[in-house]
Amino acid sequence: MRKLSRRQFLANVALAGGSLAVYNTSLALDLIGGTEKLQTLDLKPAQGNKEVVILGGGVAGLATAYELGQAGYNVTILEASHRVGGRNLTLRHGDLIDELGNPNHCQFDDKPNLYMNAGPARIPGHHRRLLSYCKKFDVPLSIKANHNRLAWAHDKNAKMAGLNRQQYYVSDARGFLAELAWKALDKDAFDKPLSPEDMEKLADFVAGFGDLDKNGKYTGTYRSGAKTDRMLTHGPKVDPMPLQALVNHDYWHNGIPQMESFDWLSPLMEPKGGMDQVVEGFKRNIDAKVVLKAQVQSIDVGKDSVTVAYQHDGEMKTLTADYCFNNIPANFLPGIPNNFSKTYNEAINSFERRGLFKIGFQMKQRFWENEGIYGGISYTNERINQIWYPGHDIHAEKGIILGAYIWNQENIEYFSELPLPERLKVAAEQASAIHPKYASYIDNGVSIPWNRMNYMMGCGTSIPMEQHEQYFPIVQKPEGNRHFLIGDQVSFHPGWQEGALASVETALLQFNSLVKAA
Amino acid sequence: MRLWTKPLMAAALLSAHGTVTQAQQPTPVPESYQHCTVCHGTQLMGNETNSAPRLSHLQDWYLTNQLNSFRRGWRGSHPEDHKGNEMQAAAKNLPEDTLQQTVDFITSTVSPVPHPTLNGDVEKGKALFASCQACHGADGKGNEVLKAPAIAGQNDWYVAKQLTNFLANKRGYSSEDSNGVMMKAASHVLQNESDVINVASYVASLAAPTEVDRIASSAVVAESTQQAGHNISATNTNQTTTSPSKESGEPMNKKALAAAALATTLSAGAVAETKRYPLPNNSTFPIARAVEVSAGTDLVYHSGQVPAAADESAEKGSRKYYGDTYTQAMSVFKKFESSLADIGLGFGDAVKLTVFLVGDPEMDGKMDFGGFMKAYTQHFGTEEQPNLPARSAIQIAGLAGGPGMLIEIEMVLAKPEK
Repeated sequence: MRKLSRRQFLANVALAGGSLAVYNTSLALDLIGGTEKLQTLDLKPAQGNKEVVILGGGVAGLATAYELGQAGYNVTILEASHRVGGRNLTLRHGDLIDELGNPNHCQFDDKPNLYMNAGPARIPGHHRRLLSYCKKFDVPLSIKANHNRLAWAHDKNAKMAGLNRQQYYVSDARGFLAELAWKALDKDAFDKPLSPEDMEKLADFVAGFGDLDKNGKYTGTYRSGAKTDRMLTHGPKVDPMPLQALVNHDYWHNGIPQMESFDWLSPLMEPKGGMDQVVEGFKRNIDAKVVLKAQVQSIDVGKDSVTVAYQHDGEMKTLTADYCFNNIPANFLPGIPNNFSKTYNEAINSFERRGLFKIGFQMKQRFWENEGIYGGISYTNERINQIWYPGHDIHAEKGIILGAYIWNQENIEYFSELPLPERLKVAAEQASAIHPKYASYIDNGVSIPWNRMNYMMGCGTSIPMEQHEQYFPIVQKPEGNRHFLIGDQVSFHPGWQEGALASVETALLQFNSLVKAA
Repeated sequence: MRLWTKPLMAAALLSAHGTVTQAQQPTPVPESYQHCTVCHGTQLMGNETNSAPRLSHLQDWYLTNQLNSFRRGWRGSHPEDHKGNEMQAAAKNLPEDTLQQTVDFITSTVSPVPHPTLNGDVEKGKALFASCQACHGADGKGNEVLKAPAIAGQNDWYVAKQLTNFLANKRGYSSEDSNGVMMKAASHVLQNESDVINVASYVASLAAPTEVDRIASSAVVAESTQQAGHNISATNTNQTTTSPSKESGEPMNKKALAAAALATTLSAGAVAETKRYPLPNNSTFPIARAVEVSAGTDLVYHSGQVPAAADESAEKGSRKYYGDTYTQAMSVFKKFESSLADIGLGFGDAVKLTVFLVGDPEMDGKMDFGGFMKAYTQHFGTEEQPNLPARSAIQIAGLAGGPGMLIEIEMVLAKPEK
């Protein structure tokens, strides 16, 4: 029943954020100690003229190019699309949205503050690898609210109290849970009885946790504000919502738990001016040959080298390198002839395509700021799932709102199968339950179905959980000691740049051992 | 970062090993079709993770049919066929005048024969295949006369997936997709999932078609006139183009003979006729309740016709320019008359009409149904031409020819036997 819904949420978090992030919460907690000091790669400098070919210019490819460039290797990146960065894509005025079957251009006004992070959009403080590159490359970061309890919680199915500020639901959740705990204090509810002093401290905490009165009752709280202007009157506090309304509200089940997800703990960070500042940082610091519009046709791992055939400028070409780091989305690899071992191909064939869908609207006015919302996310169980408010360029004239952020497969398909104008129309209609005049503020919009984007055709593509144990160790190891599979796909954190960088770290550490042993 | 634009020096890049590249020797893909290989793989070899089948073994006529099916929504529109919908979007985005080039590109590709991925019972599959081979051939290499594609050489997972789709009505759901409808009916010989897997495994065990087979299968049509099956021909596209006459020698003749024999068998007893069911209650309204077309009749799908200008001096696209609905309808029927005559047909052969009417601004924005009927009854249900088609008439928001264009009619006709 509702328990299932929570499990569903966890599954969703897994799809959206990083599948095994959830699975490995305790691991992640340990990690925080471990990653304060970053792994030192300490790569052995290249001996003579050593060539490395990197397939795919996504974040993992760029980081590999940077590290191996530093170690003195001659690096070539073959990138199939017209740009590097992969899913790290910030859309601005005139940018191509290369959706298969529906290529279109971003219509945002030509202004530096009007952009949308179509791929990754937030960085937690514990993503040490990514943050260390940001620091090294002088990528300016700012705090991103992520959660904002003044933003809205909406449940389209609610019979009562369907739309309120998130804080109402949070305050009442704490109040009711504290009441329950208070009642338990009277009984011998604990395995290990506490001393009277400890009991008193616990009671004190429980009362403070839920803002209970001296009898242990929750009667509403000023934590949700007051019914009248609090500056001029001692207004009455907001009444608690009926418990039944709360228990049934989608936000209790799908919103509140998200605040607790380790990768979404507030505050997060975002690069000033767009997430692609990370890509720009790499570009400034990489001395690799980058061949754009170079589509790989075959991969041949030899005893001492790797040969890659690719098409560029209307011609078939080959490139032979000492090592190959492969960042191509794994869903494409079964369609590229290779001479990998049966086991390696079997592991590669186990990857499953996943998706992610976003809509961005350019709004004529930052109407949300008039509602007291500065950054953060509103939650709804309409298909659009979330609305994100920009936390940068506060009080500017216009702003880009994230009008849909969807990882539910059915809803992704629903939106992907609509024509572009229809996608925007539906998203606007669904948001109107939260902001009644929403549609009237829209200048234009973009939609990004990652499952249909050219040269990508997916997002968060990974080995299914049940086959992880079997195949993950295989794709993590180099094939023929020459070919390394990299990218977020080779991490427990698909869909996160930190996952991509962790895969690079793993690959380069193995590479280093091989080079040192040679 | 340096952008590398010049061709890399060939001498430095020649592969010493090249086991893959030597085997394939792929030719460059025209830039406008490179995106096809993104999903379907190098040389369109197929990619299961992307649910994209191998295309490089398929015949040109089948590829044309399927591209058109996707474009017209006959394929990929079923709400549960999400992968088909991805292809539909890509197919719809192809400019109309590049379809033939697209097919030419696909047939120019050469890819390795796929490895079997299913573990079906080949012997059981072989028994089931008996009912498939009537159309697809005992060798599974397809038959253009029957519009049955080559299935040998196809990825087994894709064969299984498509059979499942046919069984679940996710493919062949559109009555206009007569080939698909036929295959959907045929798929029901399979009782369950194991039947599907077994037959797909048997198909995977068949020798894949070679280049010679592909040409032979298309050339069959040149020799045997289209005798069996519903041969769909749209007036705007020539779907029965045969491949350039590359001599293919003995295998082709053998194939042609076999196909011709099969075509004869199937066409025996096929009478080109239509049965027209009248409206109930002795209604005199001049349309048929339904029209039945028997197998063995060629169906012709005629594109929508729109009116010519009635007054060329008026503002182009205006109401005055085209005239009222009656005038416009008469103009449409006049255009049909010459177009139909050109392909040896007349109004009496029409089995289904769809009439799109735009609200007349001079009639409060309502469609002038009476005006249309006045023109219609001069062409259908008359003494000279008594045949009545099934028909739908719909009011729509507007047509491409400007605000004054009030009518478009499309027609399906059954070709009489010569």
